[in-house]
Amino acid sequence: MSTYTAASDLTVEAGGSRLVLETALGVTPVGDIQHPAFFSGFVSRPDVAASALLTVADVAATSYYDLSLLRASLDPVLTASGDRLRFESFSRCNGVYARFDLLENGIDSGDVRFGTTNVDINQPLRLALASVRTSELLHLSVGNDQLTVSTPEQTHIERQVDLPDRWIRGFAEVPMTANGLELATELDGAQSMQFLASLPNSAPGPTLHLTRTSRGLQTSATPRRADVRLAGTARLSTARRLMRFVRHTRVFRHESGASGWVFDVDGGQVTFIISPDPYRGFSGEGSLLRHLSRSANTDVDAVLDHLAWQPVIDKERLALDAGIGVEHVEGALAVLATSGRVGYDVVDGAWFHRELPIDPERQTRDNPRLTRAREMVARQAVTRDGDTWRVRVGDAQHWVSGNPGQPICTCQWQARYGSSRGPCSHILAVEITTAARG
Amino acid sequence: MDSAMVERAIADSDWKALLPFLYALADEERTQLRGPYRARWRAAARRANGGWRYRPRIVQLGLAIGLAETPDEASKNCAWAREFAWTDEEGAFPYLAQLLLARGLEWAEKFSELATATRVSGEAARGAGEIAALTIPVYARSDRQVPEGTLALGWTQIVNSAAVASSRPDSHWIPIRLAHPTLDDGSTAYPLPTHLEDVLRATPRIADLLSAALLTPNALGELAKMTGAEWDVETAVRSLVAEGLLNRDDLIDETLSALTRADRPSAQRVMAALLKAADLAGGDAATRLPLISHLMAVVHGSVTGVLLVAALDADLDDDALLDIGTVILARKEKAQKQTLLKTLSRHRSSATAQKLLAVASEDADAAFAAKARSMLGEGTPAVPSADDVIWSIPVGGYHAWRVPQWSADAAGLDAAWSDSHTWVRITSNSMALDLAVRFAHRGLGRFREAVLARPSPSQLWMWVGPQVLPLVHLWASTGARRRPDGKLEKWAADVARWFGASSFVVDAPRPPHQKFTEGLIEETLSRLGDIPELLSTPSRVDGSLSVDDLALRLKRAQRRGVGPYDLVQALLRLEPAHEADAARFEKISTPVWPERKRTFGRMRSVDAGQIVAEWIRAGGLPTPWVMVDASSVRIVGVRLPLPPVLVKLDGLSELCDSADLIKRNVVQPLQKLRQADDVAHYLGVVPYWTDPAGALLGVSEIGDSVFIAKALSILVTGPGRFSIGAHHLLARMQSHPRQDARLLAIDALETLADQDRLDAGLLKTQTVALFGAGEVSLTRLASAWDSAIRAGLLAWIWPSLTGVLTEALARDRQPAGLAELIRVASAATPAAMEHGEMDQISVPLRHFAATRSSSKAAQEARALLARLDRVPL
Repeated sequence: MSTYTAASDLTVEAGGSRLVLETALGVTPVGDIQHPAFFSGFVSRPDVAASALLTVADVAATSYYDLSLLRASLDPVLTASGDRLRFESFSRCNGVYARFDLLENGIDSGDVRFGTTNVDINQPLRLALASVRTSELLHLSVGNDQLTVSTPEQTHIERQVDLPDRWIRGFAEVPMTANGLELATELDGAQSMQFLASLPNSAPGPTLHLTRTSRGLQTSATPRRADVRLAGTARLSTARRLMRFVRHTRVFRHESGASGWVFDVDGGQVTFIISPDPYRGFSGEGSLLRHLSRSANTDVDAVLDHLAWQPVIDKERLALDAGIGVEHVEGALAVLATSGRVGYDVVDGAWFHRELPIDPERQTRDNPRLTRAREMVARQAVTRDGDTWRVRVGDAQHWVSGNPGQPICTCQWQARYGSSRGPCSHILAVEITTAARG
Repeated sequence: MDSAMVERAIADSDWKALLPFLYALADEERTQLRGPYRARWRAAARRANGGWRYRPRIVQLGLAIGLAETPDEASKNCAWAREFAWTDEEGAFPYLAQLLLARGLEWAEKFSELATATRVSGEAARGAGEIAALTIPVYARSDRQVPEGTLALGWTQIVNSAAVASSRPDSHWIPIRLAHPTLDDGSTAYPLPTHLEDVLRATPRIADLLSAALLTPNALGELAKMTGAEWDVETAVRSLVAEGLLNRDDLIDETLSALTRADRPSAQRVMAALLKAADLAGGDAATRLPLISHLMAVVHGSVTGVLLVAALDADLDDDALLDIGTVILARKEKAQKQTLLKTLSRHRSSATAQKLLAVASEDADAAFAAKARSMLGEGTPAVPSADDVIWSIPVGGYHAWRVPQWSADAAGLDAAWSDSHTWVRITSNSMALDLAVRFAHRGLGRFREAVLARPSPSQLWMWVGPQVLPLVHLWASTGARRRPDGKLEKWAADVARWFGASSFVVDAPRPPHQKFTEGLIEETLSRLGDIPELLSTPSRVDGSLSVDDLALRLKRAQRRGVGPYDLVQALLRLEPAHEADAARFEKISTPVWPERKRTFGRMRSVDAGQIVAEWIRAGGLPTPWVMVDASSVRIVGVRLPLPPVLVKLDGLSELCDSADLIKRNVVQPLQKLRQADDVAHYLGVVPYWTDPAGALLGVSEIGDSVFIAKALSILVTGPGRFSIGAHHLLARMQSHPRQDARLLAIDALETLADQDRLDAGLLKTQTVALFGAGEVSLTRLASAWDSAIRAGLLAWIWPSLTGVLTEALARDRQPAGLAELIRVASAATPAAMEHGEMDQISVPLRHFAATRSSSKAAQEARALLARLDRVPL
């Protein structure tokens, strides 16, 4: 069990402030390290960085379908990628993903190392972060090197790291959603503030279809005329915390009804990805299942060998390095996403590497449709019936037909979701069977 | 008391006998009784307590506290959050607290630590009160830190309970109260009724408890429920601050710290009251400006009100003023914008003030914007851009696609079942029946086998309404062709029993369209296997049947004949035909077979081809008129051009009868269409009767429900005319209390406008009439029309908007929401002028603007006219 040995803290000193974000178990290029240190230096806009960090922490503490479930703290995941620090979190309802990228131009001095860990955000720190002044110097330490010399007699606050399973499912699903986002519109700073301030924040809030007008982003009565759909306004209203600092907003839409929001602030950017429905979390979206059912372990291993916390993964380069095709790299990256080992940056349009503690069983546990499909194949429940495939499930059976690129099943899953949440277990079982038969 | 007496106390829930006995136990006696406690009494107490009953719960807690060996065992046996009391009518909790303290302070402290660490949520959150009542007396005697979380939540619940009980002195409900802070005699800390200040004074370690409540997300929300001057948080806390029972600076710091979380608005309102109680002033704000600037963007309006006044009192520098000002101007709280404007008026020459005034001059609130412009020395508003407002979307016209058929095999049946579990469509039933007929014709045995391979339709919804597939399953299992009488009633009784409801709505008679559909299903099942197809299967997704399809099918049925229900159903779905089409059917001779001799004894001479020809010659399906006036809604019945013998089919004459839906403002207990399923089933029988369907949907109980708005999406897929009934419903839905429902109504309007089936004149008549009857809110209409205009529906909305606006302007007393309505009209001004439509309202507006009124509506009217005069024609 991973813990923090001290609470993160912001202390005001003569000439500036010192923010120490305590780390838990970290994964680094040299292996797992307790309480690693990933950064020590100054940030260029302390107030912006503090607000952005609080925004990510807010998302982690909030369940948007029931605000009474608010919690005091949850621990964002931090990835240090050599040139930037990324802080990521999911809401407690798992329907909102937030990420603050402290970019190179947001760092005045200091070296960013490589690795991934959790950082402690506690209530006293929240107050301190909210009180950071624009003009003061802020020294940020991610992990405290000095702790390595601490003695057992010292009093430490030990708090267990809270990294729920649902976050891992979210880390698996969000990159695939992000990969499918399409730029819908852009707003300037004033329009961004106006829009964020106008959002109803009763939980989870109405689902709005939004259209770009000369006055900014306005609600559209109907989906037909909308540029983007925001499912549950309260889920974006958390971004108000940094609306004073937003210079520019990029709004992205997704065919599933999900949306992406990238707020550019001085020295960084904050990304929100919002699931297609207010009561639908980023788990079980099914977008990864085909990759999982098709990708070969050898591809995954080959790609894994060449991942080194790259902030931007160049797929072509990786394909050359690993000696496999780009499409194989894409499949392997999707598989790696299921265990949270890669994320997707919608602005860069590229994957980035991060590492999380991996449970070998997770891939199976988090994808019950794939598990069921494999079980069906194992017990030979899939049989060819003319142009269709018959899949026996207990006493019932379903039929899979259509062309291989767009198979259709007769089950309730297909009736309800079509192809919007990935294939059903029966289609997966048929695809596994046909693939096995060559 | 011996063991037998303890058992009697458990059986009788006699806590008054039990607690003194436990209190007086020596350690040795306690140890002796621990065996039977663990073996029998603990379980017996838990069983007796089933259902959150008060006395058994006290006995359960008393036994756990009095007899458990360790605090851990005691806390576990209390079964926190799973079982709990929320009343204390006999004042037992102070005695329980005494018993707890009697175990020794250290034991009680450990117990309290464990109990207060219990996580409570949902319904179980109500169990926090008893934990607080038991443990606060312990913390009162201890120097341990009062924990945040459950204890704090429980304390706020206890305070709120005292407020509720005090507001109803005649009520028998006595809430859990705190034990007296100093007396150890089982007395409570305050009498009932009481008031907030007394409760707070009687609360031990009040400052620590308030701190813990501030640290606990949403805990203070409980205090927001209290009403009345004696329960005003600001007044009571101010008094405690004045006396030094609460430290003012700590209170400000802790409240501001709590505000960095995004608590619910109710909790934030209480925090705002705390800041007011501490008299947050400029001096306080000056030392905390970065924090206050940060909070301005995220906190509830009640808090920004307090923070803004303090910040403006702090003599802000330009950067801070710009920071706070831009946030306030972006927010929606109008009073705070006015406060800011007052400050800016004092510094209007500064660059920062000029920047902020420029932002304010663009505000959507015309009166506010006018003030800002006036400070800037700009007299007239900017001309609004016409770019965002289009007069009308292009009209595509009505088109319905051909309806897809399920494949006539087991796969098709499975897909149809899956679809019926998921979607509601006008054609759901008919396409399921079509599948059954075609599949059974290919092999009745295989069909029956495929049907029986599926699980029995055991869910209640499958039997509500005329669902084809459950009835087909019933037929395959039992041979029955009708739902047995009482099936739904039995289900309802079961459901009522499961959920403990005293009754369940099942007494409504089956509506006529359902009776007719069940007749059609029964007739079809009786011929399953013999017939290859039905006459009545729709051609299109809107449920309509084409003349060509009917002619073709009737010809194919010449030898075997057709069923009377099938024939009539086909006619009810038949598209409008030309008289010349009648000749096509006269040439087709297809017998109508009798189904039930009693009804159709003389049917042999009836010929389906002739019936269709006569139907077409008579003008086809007549549509019932819907009549709406101030106090009534009536559907005027029709006579179907059918032989009398066919009119007798189940439900048919009733379906065509006149019906008073609302009579003298009273909704009649007749058939209604309550939601999307009902609308789909109704239109499945008479797809062209969209207007009566709208009227029937409109008289359902609406309240805040969004069901009717959702059913609009089915209604607009019907192929029929949208006349008074449907437009009356649409007019009303524009003013639905819920925004999402209003947006669904606008979505329906857009669909109809695109199909060229939305009548702007009718919509205006109905909307104005509803406004005259006081049944619509101007604020909600303004909100809906704002959305509609953005959707490109101005051409259809403008007559309603101007009609309602003219009526509203003519009233002696300005109706609420008039300013919002004028603001929406103002946004549409450029597009309306381009189409020469402003004359309709410019006269009443000028008249209204010329009055001496200084209301917001009058200012909006003047702003609109000023813009009007600047728009080039």
